[in-house]
Amino acid sequence: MAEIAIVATLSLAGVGVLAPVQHRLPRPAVVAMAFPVGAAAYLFVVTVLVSLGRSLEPGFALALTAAVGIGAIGAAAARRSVGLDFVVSAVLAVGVTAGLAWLFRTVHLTRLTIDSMRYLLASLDLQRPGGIEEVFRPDLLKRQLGLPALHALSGLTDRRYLASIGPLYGISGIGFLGWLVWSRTLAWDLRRRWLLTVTAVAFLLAANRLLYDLFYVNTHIEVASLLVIGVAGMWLALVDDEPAWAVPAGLCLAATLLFRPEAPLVAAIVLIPLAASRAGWATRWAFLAPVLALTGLWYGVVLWSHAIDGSEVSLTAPVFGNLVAVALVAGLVLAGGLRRWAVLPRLAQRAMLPGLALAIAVFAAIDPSVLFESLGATAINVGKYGLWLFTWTVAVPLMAMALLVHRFRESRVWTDSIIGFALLFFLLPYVRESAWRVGSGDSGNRILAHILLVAVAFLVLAAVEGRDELEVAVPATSDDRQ
Amino acid sequence: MRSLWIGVREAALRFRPRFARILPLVLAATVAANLAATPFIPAQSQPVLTHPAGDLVTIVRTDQWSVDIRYRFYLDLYEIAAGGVLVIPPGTFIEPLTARGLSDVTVEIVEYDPVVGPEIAGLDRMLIGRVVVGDRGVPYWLVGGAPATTFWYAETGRDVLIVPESVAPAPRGASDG
Repeated sequence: MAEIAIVATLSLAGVGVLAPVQHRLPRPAVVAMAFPVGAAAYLFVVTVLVSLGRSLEPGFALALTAAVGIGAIGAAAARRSVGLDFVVSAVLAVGVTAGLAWLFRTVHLTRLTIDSMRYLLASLDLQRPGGIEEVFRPDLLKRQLGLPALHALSGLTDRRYLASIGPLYGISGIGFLGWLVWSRTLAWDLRRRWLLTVTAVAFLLAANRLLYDLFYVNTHIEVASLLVIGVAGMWLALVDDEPAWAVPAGLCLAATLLFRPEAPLVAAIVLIPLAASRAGWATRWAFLAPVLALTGLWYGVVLWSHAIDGSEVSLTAPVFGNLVAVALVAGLVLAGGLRRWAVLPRLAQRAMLPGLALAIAVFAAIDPSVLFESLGATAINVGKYGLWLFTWTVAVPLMAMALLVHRFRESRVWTDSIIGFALLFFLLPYVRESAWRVGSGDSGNRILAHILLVAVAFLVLAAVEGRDELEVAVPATSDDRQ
Repeated sequence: MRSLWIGVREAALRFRPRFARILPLVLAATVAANLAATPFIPAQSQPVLTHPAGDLVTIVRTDQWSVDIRYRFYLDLYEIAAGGVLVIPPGTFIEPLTARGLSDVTVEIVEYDPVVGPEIAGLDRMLIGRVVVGDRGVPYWLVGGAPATTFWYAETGRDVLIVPESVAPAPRGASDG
């Protein structure tokens, strides 16, 4: 019962944080995003507490998060932007979250590995009097704060982990993707809409490794879901000219920074298209503010002083390098809003993918074995040992096709993110100084999950978006006219 | 080169309406193939419950930092039900009091020979590795068994490794590190 109350509170906080903008967002999307957004709000609270040197008191942090949500609802109510619609969204979000939490707490599908133990151990350590000082130092950068902080809430229950965290993130991300497919095929007949939506969702659920991640106590499903909301929300903010999307998307993108050591680099790649876009200041700041706040507190304050070699000033040092990456991209996002400097982010966007490719080439020239071993291991994992079954074997050729045939506005939000992630994927072995290995448990195989939801969303959009423009541009063949 | 690219791009754009038609079919076929290749839902595992710490847990927590840091959680996360079996290697001895300290429930203590392995008590086991604790190595085993019956390999004294059944291989037998 306590676990259900905890995740329902997070969901309510999520709806609360979205209250000022929820009337401009579709209700199914608000319901799908409620839990990740509420969890992001909780992680903000925890990061502030930890950076102040406090130990993590989960009950206090949860109460503060609820207060933030209620405060946001109060502020929205004062501006009369909260009505019956909001109440319905809140009831649905809390009800669905509570129901799912009950289900996944009851059926016991949680999988724990040695990695899981380390995350859970950190969640206990954070609650000891020394707080962050108590966490095993080598784990601080590698395991980060996000997952330990979430599972620390289990201190309020009779277990040492929350079984519903992974499934709730997974269902939120996949549910959001389902809504995205449904909402972008309005012009299609109902049968085809259902077919595409159901097959896209089923494609993800039938990927054994991704399904496993829903129940595996680790960070993968969290990052995958947060990333798809971040990228899709950015695209919707730009293509629909609706800054309200930037609020949940910015929070979710920022929350990834607390889950993975490479997340700031991924966030920087995702933010470049925003920097080069025509987005207004509201959208830019809604993305930038949470990213800057979390990077500043977690990397600039906590990891800088506590991580091993955290204060090392070198571009290859993980803490300093990530700080520089986020600072640079923040500068570009701001420059993009100034007419005089707008050329800079556009140049950066042009240079980003070739730059990443060039970096791989330079590293490969120095030590080609790491690249070849990583390529070989990834091919074997994707094809056989990675538990992906036929998922990537089919998704990669489809992706190549989609990259050729897509034609829709602001598509670089998707293509830059996906190609940038792919290039970063082969750059990371050089950063961590060892190649990806064969096996489902290898980090390289596991982080493929992070981009899968984004990739499937792009596949669908490549098929359904911008068809009218295309039909004008390219005369239909006789086959197409039939 | 440029004309080749333009040609490819034009061909791709002509193909685009068909891409929209074939995409759901390809996705559906992949779903069918994946489902045929593996069970859809992972196997159930037992809940990991917190039990009151006993003597042994206290010893490990306070006496050895290395054990504490690496295995404290295994001690916290053990799973056992009344009537469960605690498996120990031959020649070692575990006091019933210690067993009670571990679980707060009555358990049967059974000797298990890792060399003979599966033939004893019909147990399957998998050597995960060898962990150096203090001045000697301790083999780290995962012992299979039906949920709520057999869970652990353990040694007595300060070097105790307890592996809950939930620390199980990924679906289709692969392990996850």
